[in-house]
Amino acid sequence: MWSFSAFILLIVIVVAVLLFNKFSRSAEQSVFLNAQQIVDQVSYNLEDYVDGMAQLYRAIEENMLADGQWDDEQVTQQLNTIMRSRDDIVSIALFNEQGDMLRNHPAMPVKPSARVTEQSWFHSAMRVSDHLSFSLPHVQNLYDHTFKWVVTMSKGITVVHNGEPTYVILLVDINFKKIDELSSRISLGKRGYAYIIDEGAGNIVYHPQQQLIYMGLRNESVERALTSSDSYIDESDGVKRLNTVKSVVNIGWKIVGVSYLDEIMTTREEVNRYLVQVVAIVLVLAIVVSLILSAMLTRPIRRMGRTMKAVERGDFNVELPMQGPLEVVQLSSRFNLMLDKIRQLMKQIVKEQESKRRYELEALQAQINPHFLYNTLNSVVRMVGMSKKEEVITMITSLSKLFRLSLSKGKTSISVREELEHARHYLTIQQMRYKQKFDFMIEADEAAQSCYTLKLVLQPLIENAIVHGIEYMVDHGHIHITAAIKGDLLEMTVKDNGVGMSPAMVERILEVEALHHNPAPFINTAGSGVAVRNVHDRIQLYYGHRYGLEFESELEVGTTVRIRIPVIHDIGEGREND
Amino acid sequence: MIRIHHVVRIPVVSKALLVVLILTSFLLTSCSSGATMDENETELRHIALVAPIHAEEQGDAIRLGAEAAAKENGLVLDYIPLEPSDDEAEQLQAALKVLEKGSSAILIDPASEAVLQKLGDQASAADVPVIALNDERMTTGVLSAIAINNEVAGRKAGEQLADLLEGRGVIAILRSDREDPDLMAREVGAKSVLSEMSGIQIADGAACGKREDACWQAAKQLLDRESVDGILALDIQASLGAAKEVARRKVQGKIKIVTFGSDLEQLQLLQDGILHKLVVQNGFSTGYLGVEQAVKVLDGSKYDKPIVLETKVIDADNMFWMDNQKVLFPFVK
Repeated sequence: MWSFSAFILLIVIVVAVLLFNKFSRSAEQSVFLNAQQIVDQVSYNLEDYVDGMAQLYRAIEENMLADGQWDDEQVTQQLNTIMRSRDDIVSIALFNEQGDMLRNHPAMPVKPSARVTEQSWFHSAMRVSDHLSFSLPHVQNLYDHTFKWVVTMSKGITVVHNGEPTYVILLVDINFKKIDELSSRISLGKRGYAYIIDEGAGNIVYHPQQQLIYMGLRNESVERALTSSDSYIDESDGVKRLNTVKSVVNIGWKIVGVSYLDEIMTTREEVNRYLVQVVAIVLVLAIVVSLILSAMLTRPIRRMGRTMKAVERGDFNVELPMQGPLEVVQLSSRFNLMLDKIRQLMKQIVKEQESKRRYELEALQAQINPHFLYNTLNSVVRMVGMSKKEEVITMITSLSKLFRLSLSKGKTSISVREELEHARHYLTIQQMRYKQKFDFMIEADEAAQSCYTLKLVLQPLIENAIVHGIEYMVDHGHIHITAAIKGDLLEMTVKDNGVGMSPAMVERILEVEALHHNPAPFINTAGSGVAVRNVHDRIQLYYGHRYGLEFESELEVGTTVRIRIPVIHDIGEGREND
Repeated sequence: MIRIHHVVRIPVVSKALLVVLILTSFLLTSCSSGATMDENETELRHIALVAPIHAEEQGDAIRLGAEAAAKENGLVLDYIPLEPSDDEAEQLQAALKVLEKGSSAILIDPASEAVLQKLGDQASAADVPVIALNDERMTTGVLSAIAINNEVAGRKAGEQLADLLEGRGVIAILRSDREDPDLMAREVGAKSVLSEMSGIQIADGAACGKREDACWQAAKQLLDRESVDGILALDIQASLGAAKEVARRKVQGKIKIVTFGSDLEQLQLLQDGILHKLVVQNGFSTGYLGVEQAVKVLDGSKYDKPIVLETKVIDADNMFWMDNQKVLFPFVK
């Protein structure tokens, strides 16, 4: 779930970063563009203004100089009209080549100390005739007690005056009212402004804080503005500013719009903040959705987990409901199948265990078979009666040892040696009972003797051999018992030379079905073979189905029973189940 | 390889809650960091400028400069005007009134050392910085000063006058009848130059006050009494009085007058050749820098030296040089 959220977070962040870049770039571009448009607009307005001024100049020129008469009444009227209609014209004046004033409006004497011929506008008019030139801002130095900052339009013109061609200079001084109006009515952010420089030397023509510039209390980086033709970012005093430059073509000025980048950056920050919020909201949604999804997905799985825990705790009577996504249903059904299997196996194990216990009990009970005990004790009594002291001792000893061995401290496995010992005592007792009707022989190699076996496997076979094989013999019986290791098998055999069995009988002895449906009587009545099958089943229960009994029998020849068990050198080894 | 996973089980509800909490905090921080302070929340700081006595154009220039700086720094400049007849007592009174009314800082071009000292003492008690204009003395409470070196200015004036006279002649000094330390320093500077020149004699000067035409009268008496070749007028009033008398006697140009200031009237007289040299200090810059210093002081900067501005020598030839135009003539749109 967390990885899913992380994945979503990653995607959202990538998208956000991409969007942020795109947004901020486009926002910046739009700001740049906006600044450019504003500055262009100002530039067009200024161009218009300059054109208008040039037209006005021509109008004044025509009016004053058309017929070479600049001092008649009509001209004065016209000039009055013009001056009244405009508040950006400071004064109009006409000079001759010597710098003498011919006519001016408003009419005032030029002060003698003015040194007209030394002034720059006079120079440029003299230098190039018939070309209207605009001066840089300067202090008008013509009349007493006025020192106004003006831009001078001047042109040298040859007119015919009183029949003589005369070179005159017409001067029109304009103030900054209109330029200021045009330049200051712009919106370049909160603190942005525009200023004007001349393209020649980068002199400041107009600046909203012109006084500070003039006093040297403020500076503008005009060098870059001079060489640049569009926008550049300048960082002179630690503050980043966007400068947008546009030329005002017809007058040789450049307008520079200055906007503060941190105001643009607020746009960027806004985008940033907005995106952060979007990302956060998306993230919340993603996580909520993933929580819900995972809850939906994991609920069945968690239910499974709970069920499994219950199984762990040992409650096998549970079942997973078949609902939820397909995979979960499949998993549930598998799990249910597995549980079924487990339940079956457990039942089987329970059964097997029950059988084991039963067989052991039976084997034990077979040992304390009262019949056998009764017979044996009868024999003992008889022997006592016959004062066969030695035999009595032997019999009683064997009987006691027999019991001790068969109890074997409650262990199910004992060494082959002990099992053989047990067989020997049993045989000894039976030999005495059957009045030496048979003899026996036990052969076992040392290796085999130290192996372990299920206890009480030989005795029922020996009993079988005696009761079914030898008892009804005419001849002397012989029982031969061996134990040997053959490959990975430990083989013990009980061989008699008794009456033998038909193959059908052999088969019946080992019918597995009998195991479950015939609760074996613990007294081996004649011919039942139950005790023998009990041995076979026990071996199979203990060691598995590979092992067990094998009969070889021939009528009138005898029977050989082979016990096959795994070679076990340790108690507890080689058990398939217990 | 065997991995052992320790699975810590947190109930889903608390997990979701945790996530939501984390995200909420995240959102909140992102919002709070982006919160912008409204700039209009804080009230604009006020800075007071107490007018100099005999303000004239120099005072106007200071005011213009101070206003420009105040506008740029987002301050309100309270200009405390004085009547033309007001003197140092009235100036001190006006300044103390401002202090009482409350202001972030006080700019003052003090009429005398006493005014500055008294105001400084009171202001430092009230924890209001005082910025002295045209005064180098940084007494108690005066945390910054914008001034010209009046002695150097006086020396410049003396040199110019000696040059005009080509090192020979009689010079009279027209001074103020006020005990103005600035003017005294100018006189000391001028005399230190002139007294070294063998061809120059310093005649008994005259003093005049601020009454209309007082300086003209003083100049008249001076010229009646002495035959002088040059006049060193220590302030604007003196220069105008001297110019008037010289023009009346039609000896303009013959008697060289050197003075201080950049009044339009002085400039006109300079262009007309009645005054010959002006030693000019930039009043606009004084006011502008004064406010800037006030802002810096309020922001915690410390100054132990006054800011000394340069003076310029202006005559009829160079007064219309672009650099000089820009300084001499206020730019009015």
